[in-house]
Amino acid sequence: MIKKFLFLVVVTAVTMRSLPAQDTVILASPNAWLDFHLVQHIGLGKWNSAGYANEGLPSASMTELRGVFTFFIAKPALHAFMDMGIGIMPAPGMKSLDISRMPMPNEAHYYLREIRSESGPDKASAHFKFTAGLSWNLQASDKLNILPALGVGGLTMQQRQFDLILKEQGSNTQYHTTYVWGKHIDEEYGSTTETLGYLTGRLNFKYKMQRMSLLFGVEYTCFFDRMHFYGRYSNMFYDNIQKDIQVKGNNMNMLGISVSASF
Amino acid sequence: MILAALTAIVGGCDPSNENEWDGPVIPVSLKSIEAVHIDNSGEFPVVADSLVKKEAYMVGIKWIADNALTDDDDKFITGPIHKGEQLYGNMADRYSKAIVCLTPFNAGTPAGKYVSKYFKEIDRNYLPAGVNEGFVLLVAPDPGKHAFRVEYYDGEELTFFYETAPIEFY
Repeated sequence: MIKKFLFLVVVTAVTMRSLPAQDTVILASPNAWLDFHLVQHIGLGKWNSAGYANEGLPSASMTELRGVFTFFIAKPALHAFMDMGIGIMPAPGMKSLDISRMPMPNEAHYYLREIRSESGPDKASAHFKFTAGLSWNLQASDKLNILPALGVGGLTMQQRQFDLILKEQGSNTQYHTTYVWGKHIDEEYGSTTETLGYLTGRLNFKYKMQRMSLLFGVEYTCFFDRMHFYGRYSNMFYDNIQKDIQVKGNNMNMLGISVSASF
Repeated sequence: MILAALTAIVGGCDPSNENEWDGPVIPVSLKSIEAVHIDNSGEFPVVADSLVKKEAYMVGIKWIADNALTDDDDKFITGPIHKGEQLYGNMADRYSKAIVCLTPFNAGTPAGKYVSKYFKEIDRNYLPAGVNEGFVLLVAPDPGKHAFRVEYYDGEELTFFYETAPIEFY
């Protein structure tokens, strides 16, 4: 908490001026301005209902720093915005592969013989986020403006994958096993970084003080793309697929609180 | 002086200096083979001499070679590898392997028949120490005592063979 507070102080100290359209503006164009927001998002559910599938992904919360560029479309109140930001998500619950938590080809006990490769985040990870949309500026009083906004955007998520060898207890049987967490579970897709699309609704409150303006906002983000889990077991001696597992992910929803200050 | 220090730093970080010394190349030839029974039921395979679960049986091959590797790296002169020379790690790759059951395998496979199709070679990283090749048995025989003969062929010519001692399958 203390680190986040100090970070907020630094951010607000370098935030560019953000003024309502009726007063002075920041950029050369009088109809546009730039803000920097610090946002804390909290997940309102899980990426996946299956425990092992959920904990292979970063924890569902994010601290985001974003730049918001706003410009007028139709006076006096309608304008459009575009923002880009970097969000930090905490490390996954399952930082290293724990086969005791993973599904197996059958009821037998298995030994982890070898992890051939692994990729994807096992620590806190950075994600690129972008949004575009429309907002409306309502002047509630001389000092208070209310800005509802609606937008669409995308959040990058890196696919996580393990390739390993499982050996069956009491038998010569060995399986080449692949576990994948990703948006696409098509083997031929090939991309390791994917974009989850979302809809977002925001309600910002801008309060004008003597020498600065404070902006406080709440936002709700609904992801229409999901992160799925995929497992495949191939018999190493006969090179045939013993079992395929697919666990569909949930539509994630996040609630966010944003703060900004302009001078 | 600064330039000299930078040069020393860069020279010290030269990747070519970090290459490990490659071990001596030793031309070897296979002289004979020895077969052992392996119990592969646990996490790691172990050489067995009595009772083995029939679903977890593996026959292991030890290579007997001339000019065998030693720990004394200075003993042999290193030199270029000429076409046809063999290294210790792959000297048995030129041979085709076959396995004959010396005892009745099951109702449909009497003694003396080739049972090679019931075996598959396993990755050499998953073998006990001292064993160079391994062939896992993927079709369970009848319980009881079994023995096998492992044969190495150079083309159509039988070059090496080894008959195992009987092992009890359960």
